[in-house]
Amino acid sequence: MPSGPCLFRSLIAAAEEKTGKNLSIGQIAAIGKELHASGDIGTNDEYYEVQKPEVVLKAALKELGYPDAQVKVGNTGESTGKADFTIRFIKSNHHYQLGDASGKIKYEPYKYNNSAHSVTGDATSLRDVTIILTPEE
Amino acid sequence: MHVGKICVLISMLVFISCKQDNVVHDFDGAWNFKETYENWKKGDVEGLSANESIIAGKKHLVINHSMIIDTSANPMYLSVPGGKWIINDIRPFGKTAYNVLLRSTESKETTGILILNCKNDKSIWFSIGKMDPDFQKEFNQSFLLVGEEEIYVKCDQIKQ
Repeated sequence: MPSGPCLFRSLIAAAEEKTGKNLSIGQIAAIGKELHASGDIGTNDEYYEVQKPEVVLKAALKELGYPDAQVKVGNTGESTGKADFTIRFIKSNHHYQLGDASGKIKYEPYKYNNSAHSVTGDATSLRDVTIILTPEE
Repeated sequence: MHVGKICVLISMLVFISCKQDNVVHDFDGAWNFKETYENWKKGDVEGLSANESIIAGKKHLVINHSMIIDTSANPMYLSVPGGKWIINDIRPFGKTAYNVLLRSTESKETTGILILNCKNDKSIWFSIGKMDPDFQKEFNQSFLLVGEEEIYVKCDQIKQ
């Protein structure tokens, strides 16, 4: 994947973590293509720019077999410590990562092909991500 | 002093004052956090890249996840990670701020005001104005950081 879509990939990772399943690169690319075509992600400058984080989560969960899952993304800086995950934001790098409920890093999108790409440091802000799964069909 | 000269002087002062009050800022382009931008300039940021892009007819540098403002587009828009809104209008609000009247891309009735505050060094920061409840919810979905500590600077415009 090109650099940049860290928020997109972090949201996909939240769905993977919740369901305990992994999506292939091809599946992730297909989700990106579909959401880009529908205008839910992407700008002229960045293919994976996320416009609607909940839509990305729902698309990933649908691909993972949970089309009726409910998702909620909380407000910036108002993490409760009780959600399933958090989206970590590191302002100095304008970078997004997936964190656990307390904000500790859980998934680093830049690590996909080279651990040296990992961004370390404290999160500037956290956002809660809550996913409620309903049984697979 | 001759009365005529005094009138001319007063007229000039009024003109200059109005000119200052009516300074039109150019917000078109890509904006990013000052901290991010400075780190990128220094080459300190792994994984962060920048592309050249035409915004409002001019070539700009766009660092990943920048906020984009384009008032030449139809409709005008403001986009940030996690949200994109149509700009209905930008109105001066005092001498150093502007009310950016936004509406949802989904509904014309869902509107909100973002207050864009200008600093002397041309950087900006945002505060929240009046927002419909549905707009507030949509706004909260975005990853725009708001407040005096969150300073945004415009990424470079590339000379053509």
